[in-house]
Amino acid sequence: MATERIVYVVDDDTAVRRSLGRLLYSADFECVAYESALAFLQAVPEISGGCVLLDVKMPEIDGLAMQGQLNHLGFRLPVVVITGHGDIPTAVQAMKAGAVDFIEKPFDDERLIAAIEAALADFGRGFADREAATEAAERIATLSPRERQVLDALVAGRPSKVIAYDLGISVRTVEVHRARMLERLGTRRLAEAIRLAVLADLAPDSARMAKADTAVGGNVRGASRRI
Amino acid sequence: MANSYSSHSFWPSPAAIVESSNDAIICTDLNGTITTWNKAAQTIFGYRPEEVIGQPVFLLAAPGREDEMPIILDQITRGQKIQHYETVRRHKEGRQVAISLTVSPIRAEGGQIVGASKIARDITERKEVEAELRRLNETLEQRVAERTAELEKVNRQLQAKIAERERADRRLRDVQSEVFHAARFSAVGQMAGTLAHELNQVMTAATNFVNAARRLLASGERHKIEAVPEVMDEAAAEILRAGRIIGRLRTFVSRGEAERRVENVVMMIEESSALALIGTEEIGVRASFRFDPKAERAFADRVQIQQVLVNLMRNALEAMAGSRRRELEVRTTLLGDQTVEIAIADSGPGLAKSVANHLFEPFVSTKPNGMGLGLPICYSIVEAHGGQLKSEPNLGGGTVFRFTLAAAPTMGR
Repeated sequence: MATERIVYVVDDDTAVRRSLGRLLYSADFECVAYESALAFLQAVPEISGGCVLLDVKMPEIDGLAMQGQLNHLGFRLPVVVITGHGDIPTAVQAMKAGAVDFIEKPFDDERLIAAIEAALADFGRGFADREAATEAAERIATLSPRERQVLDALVAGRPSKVIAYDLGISVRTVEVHRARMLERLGTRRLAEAIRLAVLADLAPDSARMAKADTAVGGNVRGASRRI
Repeated sequence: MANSYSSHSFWPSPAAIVESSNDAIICTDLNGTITTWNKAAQTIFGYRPEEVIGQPVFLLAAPGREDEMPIILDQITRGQKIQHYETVRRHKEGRQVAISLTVSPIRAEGGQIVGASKIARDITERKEVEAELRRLNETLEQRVAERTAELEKVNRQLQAKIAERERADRRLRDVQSEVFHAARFSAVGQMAGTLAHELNQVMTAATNFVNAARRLLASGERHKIEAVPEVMDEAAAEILRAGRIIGRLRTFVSRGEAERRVENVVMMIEESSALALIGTEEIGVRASFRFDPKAERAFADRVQIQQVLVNLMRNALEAMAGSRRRELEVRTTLLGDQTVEIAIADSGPGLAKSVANHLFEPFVSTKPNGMGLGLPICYSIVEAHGGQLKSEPNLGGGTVFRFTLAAAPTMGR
């Protein structure tokens, strides 16, 4: 069991790396830190369990490029990505590249620990798990067309103001749709909603389209294509 | 047929028809001697029947057209008819009468031609109308030509204006890209972006250390509790690092000193406002400018001061977003001899006292997504120029931001 509680931290900032080590230690995780993507990639052959906590913004090889390399190597450990505050587009890219979750800097310890616990529990299931994807697609399909449009726009990284303008509604209304959308998806975190949206996209076409059609009609496909 | 007509007592005689016709009906023998002259002939040509019957028809010939009648008579003699021939005859009083003439041979019972019947219609009036029309037409053509020339002139002026406008637009785009370029790659924008990232790193680390310390304390395990002071030191070190990062903000703007030169204040303001006011007319913002001619030139790093101006104007516009009255005023004033003051006044809700006192400190913002760096950077830029930036309530609602620059001698002084 002990080996499964290893967290591999990849971050170029010394202080952040060190503070993550302290925090993970305080939460009874074992932490191994790397100062660059390259250093981590070199260590990959010896790694067999645990999860990766990866900062996307790094010089030379950034987090996204490193994910690409990991996929190429057939690396199967779950990756949680750390992004800058409000950098949703990068988070979405990371999720599409296979990250199981993302957290925004600065984050609170509970959120970080929950994300790592979930990632460790996920190990072995694999991100592109068909069942998980189909389940995500089913949950996404329960959204109203407007809620789906708002989610799609959020996934595309648009701020509320822009979404309001694009949809011809007020910012306040966007916020209401956003809140209802999160409620319907059974989460209070945008990250979870985005994870579901990305996952749903990986669901087998037949499942996804059938669900989308019965739930909200043709609009959804038009909306999702705009992403 | 003629018999059948005359058999009806109510049918007028041919002579009566001739008499009542509105057209002149004149009969002559083959020599041209007039034999019939109806009432309309009298009206048109002026002669009474007793004056002309037995006289040669040639007395009606207009000067210069004496040849016509013998030729017509000659044709009639040969059995030909003349239809609707437009010509001119002479009135008894000497004036000319325009007529349409139809001439037919008169045949005797045996069929031989014995004379000519002429039907003449007065077309003077029609001719006059035609002439008038022609004249009008010519006038019209003349006016069309004049108007065309006028339009061509206007067109040329318009094209000149368009060219001028395009030049102005190009200039604006240049300024725009210059300011944006500066924003993104050199000055405030990059500074703000870098700052935000670095501070985020620092805050992440500090938060982690503090949270770790709390958890270690709560664990109750001795070796964990013993690590707490060290972790707290690390947290404190991060917070100090944040202070140093903010301190860099101040020093960064003073670099521009060497770039300072004499600039036209009006031009700097106009270029900045063109940039800051894009799209604001549609939302009902009234912008007005009052330039003091004595405050036209100042020492400034143009790009930096334009960033201050754009920043202050955008702030003013955002402050007024929820106001019914949206008035932006930019004023320049020469204070004393050596200071140019630029004031940017808005009609927004004004600043709460709690915010107003900390306005130029970093990370104070009234905007939901504001970073709170715009005004501190403006402040530092103005300070580096040896000027002052301050805010005060605007009389009648809103806020005024004023900043000063060192005045440069006006040209020619």
